[in-house]
Amino acid sequence: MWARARQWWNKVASYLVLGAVAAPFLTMYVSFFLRAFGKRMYLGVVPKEFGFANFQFLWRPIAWGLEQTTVWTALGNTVFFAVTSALAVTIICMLAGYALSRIEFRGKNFFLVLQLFLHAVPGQILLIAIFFLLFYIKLLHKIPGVALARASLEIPLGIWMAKGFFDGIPWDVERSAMIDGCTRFQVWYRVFLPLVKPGIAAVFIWGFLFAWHDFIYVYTLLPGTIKLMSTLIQSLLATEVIDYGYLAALSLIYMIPPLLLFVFLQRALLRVPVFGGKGV
Amino acid sequence: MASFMGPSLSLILLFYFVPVVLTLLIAFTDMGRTLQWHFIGLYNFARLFGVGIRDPFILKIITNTLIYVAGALPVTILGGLLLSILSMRMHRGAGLFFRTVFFIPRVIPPVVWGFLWAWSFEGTRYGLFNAIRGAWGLPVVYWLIRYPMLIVILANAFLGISLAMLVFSSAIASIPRDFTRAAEVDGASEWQIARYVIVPALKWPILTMTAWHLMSFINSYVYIMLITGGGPYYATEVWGLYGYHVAFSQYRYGYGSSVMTVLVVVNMLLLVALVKAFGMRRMLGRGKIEV
Amino acid sequence: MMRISLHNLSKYFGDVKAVDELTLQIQEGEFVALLGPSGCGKTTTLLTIAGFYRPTKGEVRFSDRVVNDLPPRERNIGMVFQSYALYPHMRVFDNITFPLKIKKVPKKHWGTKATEVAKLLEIADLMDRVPGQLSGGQQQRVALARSLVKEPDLLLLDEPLSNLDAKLRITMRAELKRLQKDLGITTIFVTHDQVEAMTMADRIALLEGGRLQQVGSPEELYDLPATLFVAGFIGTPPMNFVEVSLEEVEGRLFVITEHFRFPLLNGIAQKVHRMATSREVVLGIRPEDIKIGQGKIEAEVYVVEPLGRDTLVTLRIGAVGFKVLAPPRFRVAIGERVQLAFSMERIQLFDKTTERSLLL
Repeated sequence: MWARARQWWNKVASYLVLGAVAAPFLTMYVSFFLRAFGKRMYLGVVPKEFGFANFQFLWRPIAWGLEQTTVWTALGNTVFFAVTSALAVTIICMLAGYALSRIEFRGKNFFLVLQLFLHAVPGQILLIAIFFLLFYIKLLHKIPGVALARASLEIPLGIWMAKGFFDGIPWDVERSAMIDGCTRFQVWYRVFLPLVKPGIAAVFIWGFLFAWHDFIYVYTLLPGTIKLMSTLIQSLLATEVIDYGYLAALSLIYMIPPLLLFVFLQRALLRVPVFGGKGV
Repeated sequence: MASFMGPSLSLILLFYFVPVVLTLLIAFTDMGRTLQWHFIGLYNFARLFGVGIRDPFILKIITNTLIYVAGALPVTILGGLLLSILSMRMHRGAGLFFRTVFFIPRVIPPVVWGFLWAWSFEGTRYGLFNAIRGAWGLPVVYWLIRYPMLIVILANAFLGISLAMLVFSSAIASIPRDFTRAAEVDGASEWQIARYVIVPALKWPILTMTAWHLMSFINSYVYIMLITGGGPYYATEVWGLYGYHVAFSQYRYGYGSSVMTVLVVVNMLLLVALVKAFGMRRMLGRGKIEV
Repeated sequence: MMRISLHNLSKYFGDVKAVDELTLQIQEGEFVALLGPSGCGKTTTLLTIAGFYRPTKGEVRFSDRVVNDLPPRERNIGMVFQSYALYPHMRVFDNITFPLKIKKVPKKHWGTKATEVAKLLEIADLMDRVPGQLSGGQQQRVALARSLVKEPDLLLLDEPLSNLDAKLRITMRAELKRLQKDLGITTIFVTHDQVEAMTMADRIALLEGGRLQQVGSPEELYDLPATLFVAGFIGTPPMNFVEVSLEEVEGRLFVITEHFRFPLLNGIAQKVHRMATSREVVLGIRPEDIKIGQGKIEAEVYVVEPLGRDTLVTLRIGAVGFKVLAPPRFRVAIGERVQLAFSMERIQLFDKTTERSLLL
């Protein structure tokens, strides 16, 4: 009897605790949507009407202070930045991941462990030096240069991811390709890449997502005149009078492309080939 | 070989090794807006450590950083532990719902997370929580002026929690059900099961998450920058943010680099300590073709 | 066609000697089996011949050329892997023509060459499928076709039959043997199955612990095993062993145990005289070389297992168990006492310490 009551109470208590912690966040998230689609707020929280008034930036320029741009320019810049960065991450990691999975060379283990360390070192504390470096090699204030710098942050973990995907391919497939006359590069290009398509998609999405979300690199290394979505939202947030509904709508638009990419790439690439027989 | 490793090696060289060396070098210059090299010896470090000349903000910055890390780290680990244990012990759907709610911070962009917090805690009736208070007839609270450190700690800790909770939950899921069943049969209470079965099984995840977030919080400043900008009046200015502001707001790249150099050194010492503590468990296979 | 010779070939992985001082000649057009239990070094040997491993010591020669440092793609060999290792993302046709594509053979020749091997292996109607849609046997044929399409000088087969079901294995055994004879390509195959090796190979090289135990025709290995290991490994049910003493009585050499004694044939006795270093030796006799119901050796029936074609009887002489193949309708009760006779000319004798045959 007592035991049962206690069990029941335990269950209720865990719901109460989690509910209490989650409540403010749920309020935030729900209000965020209400704010984006709401018109004329009641008590500043509950919208009286719904509509797309806050999305007017889709067809009108965005202005703040003395500056102005359009959401399409910012989206275009962000796509360019994120795709460049993700491509660099994907190509570099797929190359290195193959070598680290399949080829014996001196310093290989050291390199792999080093990647874990590099992953732990945050790029943001090296920003001053990267700023100077990009300035020196004349890539500062240019989207491709900054995208490359941003890509380097995802390389350590991306290499491990790529290596993991290559590790899953049986050695016999590689031997077979070599018997068939392939050089290492041909093995990689003709046989392995088609087999790790899901891995390519994963690494690409990984690189894209982080570049898409990046704020500090873009904010520091690109001039104020080149706005990406993140820096655009931050600029609007830093003005005197903030229209939160407008910002919520803009943030929503900002978050949609990664979702689309994920759905699209998943369909296109996540078909895993099956290996016959016993994997060796 | 070279064609496979070349690109990654050069990028790592260019964007990790060169910047570390450059940071150390620039720290000994008074590089400013013009980006000219002019070595001034240990002047920057003398100022940083208060030898002769002193930086009036440094003590405040150090205190802030310590409070910030000492606050965010335990909230992250204990919060992650609590949320994962509770959510794993309830109905599957409900647990998944709560885990999703707490994982959202990790999948939304930093500026949006910053926007959510800045909006929620704005000190006017336009701020979300003040609006809700207003609906109950309560007065406006100047959140970001009265509790700035608490708010940045929570904003960062809940990001940490999203990762910690995920890691802990999957570790809990891999504990064989028979362990907890056996403990239940033995008459253990929920608390005792958590204390003597679950937490010991999570030893490694807890250690790695602690180490990971310790480093992450020591270095972090982006979210603080987005939510309070370090203010009001240096109340939330932590070490990394100070270095950033010195360099990019005051254009004192030389001095900013010396501030960042301290972080670079702290990172390296921490890494060495962590390697010593964890040992290098190698999980690296051997090649099966030697050409 | 190509002659292959391995000269003191050794391959070490750290402290582990996977292959140790292996010397072996393979003639043009010969079909050779590398046989042994798992971990004996047979696959390492094959991979070294293919060029995936570099010898630690010794040489691999193709005809008279040392190829130690030649990469696999330049050796012009065909290889079929245990898992077949078909490229899962390519159709059968693309799998088969892949070597031609890499060799930059003009596209117009692909069709004829592919059809040729496909016909040979009876897979012409599978060309448009992907490997995932094929049965194990079909996958193997495709793998064979892929290895043959570039007309290799040497064919390597790694456990070619082990992924097939029992029935198909017997069919493929015969087919592979016939195919190899028709094409005349020097072929080396690796197997752990002594029946496979016996049935298919011209010669067998039996390895154990990285060392070559014996090389010879299946009959040689069966009739005159060089070591105790070979004697025990080849043949099912395996050879019976018993420890015996040798004693010379009135000019004749006798085998003596607690339970029986008999004189050796003169031919065997002479060889043993020459080779033996101790009186304590191991006697080996195959199950089919023991006759039940005649002779002077007394034994007790322990188990009777009818196999259809014959009956396997397990007997006890003292504490030592013997397996005997008796005629199919042989009936005897457990516990019954029977008489045995060994076929004297079939007896094997081995040194107890070196485990080498005393009859060679």
